[in-house]
Amino acid sequence: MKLIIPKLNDPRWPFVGMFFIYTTYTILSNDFGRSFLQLFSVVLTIVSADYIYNLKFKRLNLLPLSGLITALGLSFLVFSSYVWPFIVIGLVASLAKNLIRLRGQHIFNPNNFGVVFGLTLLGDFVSTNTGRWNNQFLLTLSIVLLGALVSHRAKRLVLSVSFVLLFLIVAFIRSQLFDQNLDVLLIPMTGPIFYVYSFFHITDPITSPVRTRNQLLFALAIVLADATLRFYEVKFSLFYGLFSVHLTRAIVIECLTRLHVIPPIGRESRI
Amino acid sequence: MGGGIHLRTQYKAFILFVFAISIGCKETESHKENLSFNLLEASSEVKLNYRNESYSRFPKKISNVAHLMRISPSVAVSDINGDGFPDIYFTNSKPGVPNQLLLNSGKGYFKDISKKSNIGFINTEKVVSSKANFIDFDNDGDQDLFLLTNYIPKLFINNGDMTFTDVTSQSGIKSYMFSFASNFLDFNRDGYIDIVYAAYFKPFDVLNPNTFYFTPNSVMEADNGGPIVLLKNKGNNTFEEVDLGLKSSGFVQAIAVYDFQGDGFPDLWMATDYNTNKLFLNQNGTQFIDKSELLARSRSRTGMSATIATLDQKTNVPTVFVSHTFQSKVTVSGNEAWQIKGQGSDLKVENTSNLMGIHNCQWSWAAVFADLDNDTDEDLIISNGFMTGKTDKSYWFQFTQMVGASRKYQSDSRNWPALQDYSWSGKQQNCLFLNEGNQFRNVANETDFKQDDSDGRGLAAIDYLNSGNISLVEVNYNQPLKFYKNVPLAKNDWIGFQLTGTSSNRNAIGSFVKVYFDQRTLVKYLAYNNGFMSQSDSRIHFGLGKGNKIKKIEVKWPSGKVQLISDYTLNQYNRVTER
Repeated sequence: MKLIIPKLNDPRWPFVGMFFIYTTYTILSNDFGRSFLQLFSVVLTIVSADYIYNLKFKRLNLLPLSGLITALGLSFLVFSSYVWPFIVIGLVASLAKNLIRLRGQHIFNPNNFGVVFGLTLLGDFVSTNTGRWNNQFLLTLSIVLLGALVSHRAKRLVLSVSFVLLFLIVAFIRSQLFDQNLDVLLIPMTGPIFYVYSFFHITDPITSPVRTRNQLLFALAIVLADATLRFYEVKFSLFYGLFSVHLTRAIVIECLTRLHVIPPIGRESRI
Repeated sequence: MGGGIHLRTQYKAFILFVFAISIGCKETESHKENLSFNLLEASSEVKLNYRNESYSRFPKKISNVAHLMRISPSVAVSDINGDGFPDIYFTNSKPGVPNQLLLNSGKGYFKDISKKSNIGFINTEKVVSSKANFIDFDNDGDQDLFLLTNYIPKLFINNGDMTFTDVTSQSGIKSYMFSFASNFLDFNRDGYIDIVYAAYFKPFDVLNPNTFYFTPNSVMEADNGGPIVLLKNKGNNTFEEVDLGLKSSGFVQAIAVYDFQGDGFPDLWMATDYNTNKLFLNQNGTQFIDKSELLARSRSRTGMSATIATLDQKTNVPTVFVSHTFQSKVTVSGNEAWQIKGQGSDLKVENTSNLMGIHNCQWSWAAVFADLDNDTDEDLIISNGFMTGKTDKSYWFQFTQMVGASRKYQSDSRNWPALQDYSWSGKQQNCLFLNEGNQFRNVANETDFKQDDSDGRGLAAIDYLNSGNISLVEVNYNQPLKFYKNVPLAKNDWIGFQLTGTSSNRNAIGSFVKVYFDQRTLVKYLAYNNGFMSQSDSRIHFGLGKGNKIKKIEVKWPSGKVQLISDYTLNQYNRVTER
């Protein structure tokens, strides 16, 4: 069986490129505490799990590009002093992608699922790398510029930009409604991880909407979920916010399908 | 695939898999065995009634970061009157509230002599106490006081009659800085004690700042903190600042001294908040080489306290314990235990805290190595807890918001959310890690530590009865102290030494004492101020267990002389003078 390599116009390739750059940065920077063994473990786990799954259940000898994106993403989003959490989280993310599916597509962004799983169930061993990015302005700027290019290529620029703008607007509304200091509410926007999230995390081509209007709604939903979680002072609300939106979206789609509002299977399922 | 969510076998398997992982990854409770000692809270019995009062009158413009500016209490154990019983000194940082000097009666209780001593009423509107350190600067046989403050450190000379005289103005100590971290060393082995201290923030008036830009600009690699000062003792109670390459990015919390290279010249380890720990190797007393990059590459990050012991009795490799915060989902590295191996370009460091089981003691502060059960192994005791607020609401959410912010944003103190009535890792129980060979077991619940929920800071070991049973005194932030009396439940032998240098500095700082058994060797290095905001009993103490036959005991003095101790008595402190 010949190895199927995704075409160069596949929107995932730019993500692979950028994630490779970020992974290299985390390996070279002492701040992330990332070892080669951790990187190797998570890549090997997810790539081989994806490859085997595709071969066994889909009869496809497919280069696991999505698996590579998930593995690289987890390697720069997750922190642990140990190696084994990377294997466990990688395996869970891969299984979640291949087993929790709706209308032929996975429901959760595997990166996001892995991070949320790690924080929720392995919290004594795992945290995120939020504070480990060197929060220099130039780094943030480069993430924004490169992120805009990649999002544009993946046709998710509307999602990224609308997320950033809606975050700003909702923060302003929160400050007015709850008499909160706007500067404090805007703290997350001053650091690089916010833009990694905006341009590379929520824009996963498989689990984010295609249509412009739906991208706007998707961004609004994430911002509102995040704002709600922040109101209740839930740590790492961005990750939990996206997770809850994915879950809600899946439930809504399932309900609409059962009510025959949308067809059961087909390309239009990618709403 | 596709067509709706169905809980088929694969979903069930997935859920089971996740469930199994979550159960399997919970930390299991250790197996309990009976302890051969107990720690009983006995502050009333020993007549210690100190309650810390810390500075709280920060100007309104920076009141939102009062929790970052806090001045922790310190405790220093030192034999002030030379009667062979260790006394205790406590600091406060509230203007008008005195520090306390408590004289050990030798009968199991302490007596307050603060008023008479001249080192009680020190805290004024402008200058308040930080860390207290006692040592014999002038080699006259009594212990003098070096006191860190929010301003220029103070130097008090012991008059020999339980009174002290402030000689700061003549001492040559002039660097103005807010500091928690200091230690003593004879860096050039000239027989006089030198001082190293480091600023937390960059030098400015912390009680009334004229800038807003002083908070750390990164939680991982802040570079906007204060400098390090090395004071060379000129021998007549005067000091001069010397630049021997001790560079810092600031926020140093504690300085530990040890001769890592075994060349007789003391090296320095600095536990640093918001950045890599610092390791400086002494080059024959002429320069310090910065080896911090080695720690950075080994993922050393952020420390509150640094204390050192030689835990491995076969290799005698030193272990630097650096306390740190452990908070589930946020900071999960926790405490570090660095083994230092090799020398020069072959120097290697390895963090073994996870293997030893000592990485998690929540928000850890001062740590002390002491053999509480006299079984020859050093146990590890850690005070912990940061700020208990009026409510149980946690400040960790606000903190996680800030750590993702830009450097400029973080360095502006106005951007930090106020603590308000939140708690930030408050109400935590101290840890007592019993050394069980290669691993440690937290036995806090088997002692009076089980009642502890205070915001611990300084912690010092003290053998206040000269019984060989090491007790502990802990000072807590804006709370009463705790005195944990060590009550042995089984009899083990021990031996102690009080060293006096002659060619070396009189306190014999920098000496190695080694007790040789057949197959192993117990090693202690004499340093006075390793730890955080604490000075422990400076006498050398070894637990000997039962029936262990000593082959020989030797002292390697800072002067380089090696002296065999043949005339000693077990179960008491032996005075040893350099020959």
